[in-house]
Amino acid sequence: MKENVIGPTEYQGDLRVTCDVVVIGSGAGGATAAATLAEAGLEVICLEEGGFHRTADYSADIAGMFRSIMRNGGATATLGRSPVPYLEGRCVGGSTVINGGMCWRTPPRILETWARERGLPDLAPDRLEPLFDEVERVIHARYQDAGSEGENNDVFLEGATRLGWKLSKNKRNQVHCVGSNDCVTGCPSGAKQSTIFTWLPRLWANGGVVHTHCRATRLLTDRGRVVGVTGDIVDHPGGRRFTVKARAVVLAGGAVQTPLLLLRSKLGGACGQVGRHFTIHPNIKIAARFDRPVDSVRGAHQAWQCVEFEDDGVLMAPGLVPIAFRSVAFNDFGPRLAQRMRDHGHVATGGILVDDHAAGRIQLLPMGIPLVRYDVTDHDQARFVRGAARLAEIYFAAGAREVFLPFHGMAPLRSPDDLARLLASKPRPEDTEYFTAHLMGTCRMDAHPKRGVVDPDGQMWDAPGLYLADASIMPSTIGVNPQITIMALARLVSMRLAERLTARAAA
Amino acid sequence: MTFAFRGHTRVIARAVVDAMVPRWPDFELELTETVLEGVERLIGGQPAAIQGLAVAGLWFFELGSFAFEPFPQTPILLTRLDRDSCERRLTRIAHHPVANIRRTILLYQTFVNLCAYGLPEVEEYLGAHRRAWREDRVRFRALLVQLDEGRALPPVPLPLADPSWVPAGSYLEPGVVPQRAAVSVPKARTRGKPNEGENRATPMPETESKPMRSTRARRSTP
Repeated sequence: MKENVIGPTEYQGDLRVTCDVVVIGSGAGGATAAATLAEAGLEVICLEEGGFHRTADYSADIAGMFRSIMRNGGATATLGRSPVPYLEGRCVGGSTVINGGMCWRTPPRILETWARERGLPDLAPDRLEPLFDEVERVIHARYQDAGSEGENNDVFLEGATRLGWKLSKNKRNQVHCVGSNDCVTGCPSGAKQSTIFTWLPRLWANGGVVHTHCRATRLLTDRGRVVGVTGDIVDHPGGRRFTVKARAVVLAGGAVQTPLLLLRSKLGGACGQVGRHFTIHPNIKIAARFDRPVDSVRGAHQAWQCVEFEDDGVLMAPGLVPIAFRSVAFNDFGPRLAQRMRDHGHVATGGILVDDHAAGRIQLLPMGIPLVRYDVTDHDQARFVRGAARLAEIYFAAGAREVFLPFHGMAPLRSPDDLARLLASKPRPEDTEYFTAHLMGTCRMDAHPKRGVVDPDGQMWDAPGLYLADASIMPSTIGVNPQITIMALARLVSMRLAERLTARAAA
Repeated sequence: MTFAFRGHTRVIARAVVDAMVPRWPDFELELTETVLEGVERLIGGQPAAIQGLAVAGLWFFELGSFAFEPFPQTPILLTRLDRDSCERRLTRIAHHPVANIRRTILLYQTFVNLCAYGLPEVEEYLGAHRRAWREDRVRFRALLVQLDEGRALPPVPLPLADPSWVPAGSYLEPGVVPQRAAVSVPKARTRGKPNEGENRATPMPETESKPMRSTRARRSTP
């Protein structure tokens, strides 16, 4: 398969092109939409701000990879009661290059709420099921090869099983994930099926092309209709620019970048909803020390989730990461951390994800400075504390000697008797270290133009010609890893758009 | 342009990194300069506003951190302290009851730890042979993919490897070689023609596509 990728060194001067559809973003949403539209026979250009990195380019140099494949070197954070660091992919493949590859369908209860409360019957569970089936086939959403899970997953499984708690086996988009444990900086073996292996080959096979290093700065309009996009060619000397004009524009920059581009382009102002309802599905990390060895190098990132407390909006899961990331989980430095890290081969790591009720906001300050604001609510914080106690219980059931928590000033738990101390202490959000990679909302879909940014077809209510196909259109948080939901929604939006454009051409 | 701390800012940054890098009695390598360069690379990937805040944070540590000493009457610059005193002072900031004061140190703490514990020498010292493991897995997976050639892949969500190829207990053993002995091929659920749809390594769509077009986007500039 020829990779139809064009970098700025392959042409001189500014780039000016026209096509049927320009897709901004090549991640879970953008690549899905681009492939779908190209397969429908449309001329598609996909723009990506980052570069194109093949599997062999994913090196073991963590700091270097952060810089080359993530936005802002992987160190962006929301502002609020407690800053929440988040990751955004900035490379061909986007977030699918840096995620853990978890494949969860949108829970039916969420889809039913969307259908009922937002007037979106096409998002009802039975309507989306064929799309979920198709997406999972395309991206190889599979269970791990037997034996590839590793001890970090095994101790979690052991503890939860002893407690009799309900477990769910993870499907991940992988072809022979062999447990190299380096998902976040790009899968070194090529097992993870990022969009580079799944949707983008379909785009390329149908004549589509990806232009790299193109940072969209403004959407172009003509008499109220969006007709293209312009921006800078980045990471390349010379101050060059690009302009792409098209019959339709699909924006898939993710839940943070999509509203920022709309705000910069002064679009979506009528409904006042752009940038609102930002949810992040935050998580906290926990480390547990065992007497027995727990392999911290070999194994899959996450093979299980404990769904016993799903009704409480709490998911618990193991999370194997390289030791450099583990060092960050201990929230310490210098000699004390050095001493602790000597035990890394006896430490299991896991996390708690909470189905958040907060609503953050993306805004554009004067001088074009983005403001990403999010406050963890006391209600969600209470669930984090309960979740931490439950995950600690899992590890104690598996034989842990100490459990380290992300709450400032809280000593490690040394036995299940300490759980009462944790629950009574009620740590505040300000004293908690969170993290997330699940950014959602900000341009939600709604059947009513005053309540949402896009209509049920994904087209912006007050900017015809502009379609959104990423996590920003989710009407609410979904409580699970969002990759499958994003792809299903992008597929839906782009299929509708393809029908519309091909019908118009035929007419 | 590559970001680098300059002048006295670099002196402060070096003192902060020096206090934060890991040290063990039997580990001889001095990490400070290497980690400092890594921190500069990470900060270099940030927007200008964050870079400015990172520099301002260093000057806060230099000029204002004496206030967190138990006896703050005598202001002593951070860079005038020996490494242990510097580490103690930064620890007081990191454990300060006021969250916003603690956060001033979080960026450096995170970057230093990521850079230091991601160094091959540190990984090797701690017995985490990550680089060798990555190479082993690349080789192992290539063998598994070879074994897939010519067979109908099991439908999603079933795992791909046939259990007979490599025992589960050996899957994560370095150097393991999968063997295609007694391969059992699960019957694939195909919706279209054989060898299409879900059984292709790069599945094709089930919806009927128009014939492949040779047209590339029209470009007005060469």
